[in-house]
Amino acid sequence: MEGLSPEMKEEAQWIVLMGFLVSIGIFFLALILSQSTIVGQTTAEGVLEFPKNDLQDVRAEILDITKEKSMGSLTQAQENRVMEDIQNLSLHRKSALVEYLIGDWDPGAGNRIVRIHYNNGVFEYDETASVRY
Amino acid sequence: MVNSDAQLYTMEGIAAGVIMILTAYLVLGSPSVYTPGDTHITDMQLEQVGADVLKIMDTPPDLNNASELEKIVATNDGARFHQLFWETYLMSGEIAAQKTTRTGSSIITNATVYYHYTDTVTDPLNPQPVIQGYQLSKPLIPYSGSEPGVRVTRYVNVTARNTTDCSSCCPIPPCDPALCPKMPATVEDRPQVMLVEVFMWKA
Amino acid sequence: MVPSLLVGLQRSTAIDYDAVAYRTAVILTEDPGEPSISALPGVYVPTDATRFQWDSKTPSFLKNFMQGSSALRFGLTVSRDSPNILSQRKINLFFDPAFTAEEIRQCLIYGEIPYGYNITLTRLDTQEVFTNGTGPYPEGRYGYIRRYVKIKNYTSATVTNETHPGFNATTQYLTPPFDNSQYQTFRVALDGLWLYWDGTGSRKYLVSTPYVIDPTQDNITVNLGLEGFLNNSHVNPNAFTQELPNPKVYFDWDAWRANCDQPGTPPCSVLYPQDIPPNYATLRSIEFRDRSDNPIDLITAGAKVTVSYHDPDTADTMLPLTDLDPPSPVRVGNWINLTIGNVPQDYMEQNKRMDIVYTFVEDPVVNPGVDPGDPADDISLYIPRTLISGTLRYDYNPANVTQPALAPGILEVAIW
Repeated sequence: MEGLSPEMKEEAQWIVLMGFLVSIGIFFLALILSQSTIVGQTTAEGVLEFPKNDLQDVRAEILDITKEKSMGSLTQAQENRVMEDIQNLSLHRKSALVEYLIGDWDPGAGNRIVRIHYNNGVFEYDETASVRY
Repeated sequence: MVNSDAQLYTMEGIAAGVIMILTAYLVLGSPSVYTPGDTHITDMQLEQVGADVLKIMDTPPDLNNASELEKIVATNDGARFHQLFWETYLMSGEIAAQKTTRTGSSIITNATVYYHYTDTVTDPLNPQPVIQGYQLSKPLIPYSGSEPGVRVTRYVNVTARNTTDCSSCCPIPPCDPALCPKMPATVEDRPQVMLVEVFMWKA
Repeated sequence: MVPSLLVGLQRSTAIDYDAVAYRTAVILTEDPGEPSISALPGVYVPTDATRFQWDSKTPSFLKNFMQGSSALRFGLTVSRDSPNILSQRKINLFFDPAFTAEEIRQCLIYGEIPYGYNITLTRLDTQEVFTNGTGPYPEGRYGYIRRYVKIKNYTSATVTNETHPGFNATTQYLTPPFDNSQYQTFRVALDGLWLYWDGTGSRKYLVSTPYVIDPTQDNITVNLGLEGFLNNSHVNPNAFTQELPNPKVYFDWDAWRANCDQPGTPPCSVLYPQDIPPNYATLRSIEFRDRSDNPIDLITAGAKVTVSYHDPDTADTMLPLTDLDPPSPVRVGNWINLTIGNVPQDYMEQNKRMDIVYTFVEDPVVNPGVDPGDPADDISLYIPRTLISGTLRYDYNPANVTQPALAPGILEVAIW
């Protein structure tokens, strides 16, 4: 390699070295990125936090009350008290706000509209259900 | 004459060393990374099992009967609650299951019923809604607080304050209604919704 | 280099198998599946190539369907509004060994990693176990979840002379002429008006899905026990030789025996050594008819009808009846068991009715007459064998239909 001057040899080594350093730097960043996906909320925490059972329960209970009302087992006064039951129990024991409205029977459409609202501070759920009884 | 030859050689050597370590790391596999939240998985499983059991206890077996949970709350039958929840469902499930888990034999439960009434006594001009609870089923061992517990709940329909049919909770029918367990005096005598809360933990 | 490093790190540490198991269990226990027509019981919903009830099809149809990049999802609940209550038909279909592991992964577990899985459903009352999996639980780490469910069982109706003596029709059919002009029918009526609706008075309410008897979703079984309805009688052969043309015909076995055991007459065992009263019925056909009594061809419409009957000659053997309208009447013994499944929606809507009609005919008996070798004096009589008549209402009355309670079970999902 007589044609190359000492300065060129030196430059070559610098270039190669810098290349290695940059690739190591990229690798290090990649490691950090991959680790960062693990640190976060795990699925189990997510499942515990989402009020799936609460929602299914409240919804089934409200539809039950609608059926009782349709069958004539509940007077309006009793129905209002039951609504207070659910709202107070939910607010004080489950820290969730539940509001619902059972509409009137529509003979033409053959259904009743029930609106449900649920909010536990983290999740909010709204539903408009068409109920056939 | 100071030149950077030696420095370059040194850095080359360090770079080579790092590459060798990296290769060794790749070859030997990655180190285990702590996944935070492992401890939450069993809590989730326990909560799901508890919620499921309450849900199926609150499902009527057929068209002509009330659900088991409704009957239990109406008759205030804590022994029946424990027998059904723990023995019939949790334990049978544990015995029949493919895998033994924490959600089985060593689970202790504490069941409470919460209800709502209007307090017209404290301030007759200003009636307030009150949420009150009473114990449905006592735990076998009190909660020590050292094990994490989960709470599962279920709304239950109650038609009247006290039922006249308490044949399930007296040893030899016919029963004297006066001997059957009663709900507390402040429970109003009307159709209402109560909340059954079950707190579960591993002994 | 870098991407493969990342994959290596992810695969060994960060797969949350419990999460995949939980998600799979939620799809199985809280989702009715896809495609699903989510109709109310008895309400007709138009179906097409991509809109139908997935459990009304066969495994081979579903395998073709999922190949065509259409969405299929295995959810087992009876309806969208009843989580944790599973349908027996969906369970039977899902645990069918025809589905491969790849198909289960594509339609239930999702994701690109080829998970190993084991899904087990155990009934807590009968200890029956359904399993679908790639293998037993592994030794190492795996994700697991256990769910409690209730299973909706099929209903059935059992009709015997003890349980339904009102269907016995002795006086109606034991009257002359016995010339093959009479036949007996027994009907089982399934009417949308009483199946899908509950309550009396001005408003009727739809029966909720976990309890409804719905022939389009569940199997209907009718077990007809003919013992007690059978006319075990012989024609008195003496009548032919002695008192033509007015044959004295005995239809009461005991009376006939008493007659031949009189003093001065030979005993029955000598006269008639094959002294066994006939124990069969003569089934002519099983048909399905609608409210206006027009015949319905259920089998061509896609329903599954299985009939088996007790062979009168051998003890306890049940034979299948493949042709519901055989060319000549079939001799059936004590039981006819009929199961119908997959009734198409348009035959069982809320205002439609389907009757299962069993038709029995008279049994020909030929007496050789005075001269056994001469066919000219042979006399034919037709004995009504099956003295049954009436209509059974297949409804929610426990005296008519056995409706098993919802059965508890556990569903376990393990993923590795």
